[in-house]
Order: sequence, then structure tokens, then C-alpha cells
Amino acid sequence: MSAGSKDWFRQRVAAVALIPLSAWLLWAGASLAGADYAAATAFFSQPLNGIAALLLAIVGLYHTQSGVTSIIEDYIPSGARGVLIFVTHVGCGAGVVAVIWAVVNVTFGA
Amino acid sequence: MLQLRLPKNARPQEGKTFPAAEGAKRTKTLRIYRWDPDSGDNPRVDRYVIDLDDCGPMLLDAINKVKNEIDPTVTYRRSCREGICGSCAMNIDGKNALACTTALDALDDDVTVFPLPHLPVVKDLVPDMSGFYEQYASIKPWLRNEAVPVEEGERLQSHDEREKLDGLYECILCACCQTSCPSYWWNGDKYLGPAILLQAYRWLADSRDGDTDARLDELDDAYKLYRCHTILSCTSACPKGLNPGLAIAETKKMLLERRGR
Amino acid sequence: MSSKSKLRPLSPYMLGPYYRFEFQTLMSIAFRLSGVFMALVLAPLGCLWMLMLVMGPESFAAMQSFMASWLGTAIGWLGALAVSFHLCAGIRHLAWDTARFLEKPQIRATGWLAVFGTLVLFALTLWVAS
Ligand code: SF4
Repeated sequence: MSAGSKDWFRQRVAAVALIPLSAWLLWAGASLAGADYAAATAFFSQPLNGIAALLLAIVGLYHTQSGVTSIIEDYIPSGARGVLIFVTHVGCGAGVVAVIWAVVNVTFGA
Repeated sequence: MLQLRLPKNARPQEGKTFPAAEGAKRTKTLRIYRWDPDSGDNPRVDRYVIDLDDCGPMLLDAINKVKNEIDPTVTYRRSCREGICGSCAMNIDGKNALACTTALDALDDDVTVFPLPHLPVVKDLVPDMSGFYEQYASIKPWLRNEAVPVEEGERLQSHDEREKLDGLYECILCACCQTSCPSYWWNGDKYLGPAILLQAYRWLADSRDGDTDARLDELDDAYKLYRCHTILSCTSACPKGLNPGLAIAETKKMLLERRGR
Repeated sequence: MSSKSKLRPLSPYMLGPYYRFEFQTLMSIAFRLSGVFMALVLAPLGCLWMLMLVMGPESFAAMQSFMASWLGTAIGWLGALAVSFHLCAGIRHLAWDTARFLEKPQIRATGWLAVFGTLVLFALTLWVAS
């Protein structure tokens, strides 16, 4: 219906999906700390890791966009609000595109 | 809007000190926020030392004593002196509560008494509550049921249906929860706040009310309801032991379940 | 509103000097701060990291040497802490969104549980990293 419950609901759906994905992020981040190029490409050549990174970027950055928008709506008066929300959308969108491109190359060797 | 500092005209200065009556053995100091609309000065904090051996047990007794015996210009709201009218809600030692149900024993030797937070001050401890009342009116807080005719002169409820109103009908609209909520501080013009949302849920939960869908439509708004981020200051502040945070969660849940249908 | 009400001072409210910091408020602020840190620092850095990996061994080596610097290390540790906390506190919020665990003692208990869970996750992450 209104933007209120719709945005709220979508943010929670993303949050639920992020429970396993952020656990994966902690594990991946820890495993890749200090890794060299060969180890890192080996890690992402496994399809499961590639897919996890892909999902994390899409769902995580959706959740980021929605959370940051909510914070902007809380704190910033109407003048700058629209601009900042637009910047947030563009930033998160760019991040998703970047990670998709990276995973397609590294994992699926396009 | 986020505002981390008080506007210049709102910053309290140190005020006067009124010593206790001679011969007082056990004392407490009330640091009371004062603002006089006629002077144009900044608010100040006056200190009143009171003799506990010549004072009732509650903070409201102490403030009454200040007004009656020390300084008649101290201005505040009070009426029932037993926690049912909600008039003497104020910020006591950094937490909202009713002066009449706060025991002096439970407070430190220096007690800070300020008006409810983030409201325009009319005088001393009296804040302007008109926005709060307007928001209350906006949810149309009365039984809305045109469609269902009344049986035998009254609308009957089962025990279970009646029980759903427990923890809601006891609200005295003191605004302790409302003005403890940071989200209400930043967006109090558009966000309804915990007290009003608890009242809104009180009608959603009432089996006799017939306007549930319309009520939910009115609440389904990014600002009116969804500025609540479950900080739960409200639940911590309520002097009646009610749970506005839970009422808001139930409301969001009703909206969620309605989407599923 | 009359001109008089404009002159009315705003009653004091700020957390700390005028309103007591309470456990639930601190948890809420930490939840938001951890989110902001991930949005402004961790997410952009993560995306950059992936891009540098695709660009080849040399750029990736540069990326990893930044990550090994004191700044990169600090970001890594803080990031692990932020993700751990946001995950645990987020689960608490999701439970609240079903209108459960909202009685006062439960608010406390789940809060400490989230803090404890954060420490466990953080320790596990450091253990995997070492
Ligand atoms: S819910 Fe409690 S704190 Fe809030 S207005 Fe009602 S009685 Fe006062």
C-alpha cells in the first residue's frame, strides 16, 4: 500500500536474508585476510563463494540503501534530503554493478 | 531534524539559591528549571534547599512546599497527586516521570527537575502540549462503528476481547513516553510518537471498533508510524508501567499481516 | 503559532547532559553507528576490493598491502565488530518486529545476549583470520 509498510517490510526481508550472508562475510573476510592473488582467485573460483558475494552485494546494498535513506529522513531537513537520498541510491547501485561485474569475471571467467 | 545543541535562547544558566529554613537537619536540593516569558532572559536553574522533616514523601510534595513556602512564582501543572491525571509529568534527574509518584527517598540529594524534553516552554515546568493534543485528535480516538447496529443498547465483548485492552486503557496521556523518544525529538511534527501510537492501537485492539482498516490506512506512513525504530525509551519511561513499544510492534504486525492477505 | 510561541525556549533534551543514557538507548545508537560504518566504510571498501581483484595481481597486491597497513587492519577489525554487532542486534530487532521479547526484563536479557553473541562472533572471526 503506502510507502510506509512496504519499505519497512522489504527492509526486514533483506535483513532475514542477510543473517546467513553476513555470517559468510565474516568467514570470507577472515579467510581472505592477507591472502595473495592466487589464493583469492582460488577462493572466488568456487561457485558457492561467487554466488554468496553476488547475493551479499545485491541484498546487502539494498538493505544499506533502505537503512541510510531512513537515517537521512530522520535527521536531514527537506532541502538536502532528496539530494542525499539520490546519492545513496546511486552509490548502492554502483556497488551492486561493480560486484556483479567482478564476480562474473573472477568466478564465471567471462 | 537532528539538532545536537539547544538554540541560544534555550540554554539554561545558573540561577539563584534559596537556603533551607533555619534548623533543618535533613535536606534535599531541588534544582528547578525556570523560564519567565515576561523577562526575555534565558532559562535558569534555581536551587531550593528543603527540609525533609517538614515535607511529604513525594517529589510533588517537595515542589508544592517550594511554591507554598519559599517561592510562589514557581509554575507547574498538578492536579490529582496520585498518578491518575498525568499533569505533573516532568524530567526528573534525566528521566521522565510523574512528580507525584516519585518518592523523594529514591532520589539523590540533588534533584534536577526540568520540563518534559524537547517541547516549547510556556513557563517554568509547563511545556506547550498543544501539538501533542492535536496529534491525539488526529487519530480520531473514539469508537468508530457505523456499520454494525448496537444490540440491546450496548456493544458486548467477551472476557478475552476485553482483556486485549488491558495495558492500553490505563494510559493517562502524561506524555512521559512521547517526550523521551529521540525519534519524536527529531520529527515530532510528523511522527505520532509512542503515546499517540499506543492510543491508536488501543482502538485497533478494541473488538467493538469497526474501522480497523481505515485506522491502519491512516497509520501506514513513513513518518506517522515508521519513524519508530524500536529504541524503547518509551517503555522504559512510562510511569504507569505500560508498554508503548509493544503496542507499536503489534500495530506494525497488523499492517504486516494485512499485506499478507 | 503566535510570535510569542516562537520565542518560547525549547526544553532541554540531549542524551547525556539532560536525558539519561540507558541500556536500550545505547544499544540503539550502537546499532545505528555500526550500520553507518558498514555503509560508509566497509561496503565501498569491499566493492573496491572485488574490483582490484579483477584488475589483476598487481592492483590486488596493492589493495592487500593497504589492508595490511595499520589503517586497513583497523578497518578490518572494526568492520568485523560492526558486522557481528549489527547481525546480533538485528536478529533482536527482527524478533521484536514479531511483537515478541518486548517486556522490560526481556529487553534487558536479549540486549545482553546480543552483546555476548557479538563478542563470540568477533572472537570466532579473529580466530579464523589467524
Ligand atoms: S503510555 Fe504511559 S508514559 Fe505514555 S502517555 Fe500513556 S501513561 Fe504516559
